[in-house]
Amino acid sequence: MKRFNIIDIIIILILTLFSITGIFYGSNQKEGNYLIIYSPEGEYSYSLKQDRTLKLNGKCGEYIIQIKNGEVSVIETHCPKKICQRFKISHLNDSIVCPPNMIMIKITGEYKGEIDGITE
Amino acid sequence: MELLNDIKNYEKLSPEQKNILLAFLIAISSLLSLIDTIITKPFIVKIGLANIVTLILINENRFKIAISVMLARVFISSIFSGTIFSLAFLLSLSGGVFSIIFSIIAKMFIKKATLIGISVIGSFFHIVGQGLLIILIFGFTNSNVFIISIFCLISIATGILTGIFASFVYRENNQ
Repeated sequence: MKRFNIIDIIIILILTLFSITGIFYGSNQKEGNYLIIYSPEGEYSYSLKQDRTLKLNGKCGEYIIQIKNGEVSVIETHCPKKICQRFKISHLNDSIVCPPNMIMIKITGEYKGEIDGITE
Repeated sequence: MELLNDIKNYEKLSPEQKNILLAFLIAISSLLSLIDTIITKPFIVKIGLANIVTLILINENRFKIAISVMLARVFISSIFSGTIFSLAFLLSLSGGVFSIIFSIIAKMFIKKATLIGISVIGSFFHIVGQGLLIILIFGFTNSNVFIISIFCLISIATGILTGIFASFVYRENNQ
């Protein structure tokens, strides 16, 4: 019995092509414009274009976020494991979540009017 | 191998023998799935050894038995690994259903495809089924598509591996 033939190779090549297309499509990340912060004190929204440092109050104490060159990172946190400090986010739908502080930072494409917060 | 002959002469078997054959196939498939979980626990990706049984059944045109073996295997292996009625169970169910549907279509319409071709299609659409469920739950974002495509690429390699393993069964039979 023949184990391999040309049809198998064609099937493998077509499927490989599909997955490579998917990889290229997926790695094309869109840029986000606005930052939404959900914290115990309320919801805030900021523009990503302006560099700034934000001070928030989480459940574990002070929580400082930095926006620099369109990238968001956590500078200071007092949660036990400090996992949220490892990430830098800049693309659409990326998020940093800090469960002990009950804070979530998410990047969105447009400013949503219904969020009661500050946009400067 | 008697089991392979029994699958080939399924119509001639008595009802009792049919039940015993089905139980045997489900047991083999569940055991292979469990071994697969144990071997590949650190690497996240499974090889898909349990698919060998399904592949041979599809290759012998026993589509109904293949579907029932697959469904029983998904339930039993998730009881063993302790993930029943969790997201992992739903993922493996949707993957299994997609995989078997497209394997059967491949067997029916691509006449020249060997075990390896059917196996690659099965494992690729296993990931596609899981990916569609993930997109349904977590939304259609670029990072989701990226990760699913990488898993698709890995699945082609594991599909070739499973196909080679399945063709060993026929080589043993010919000697």
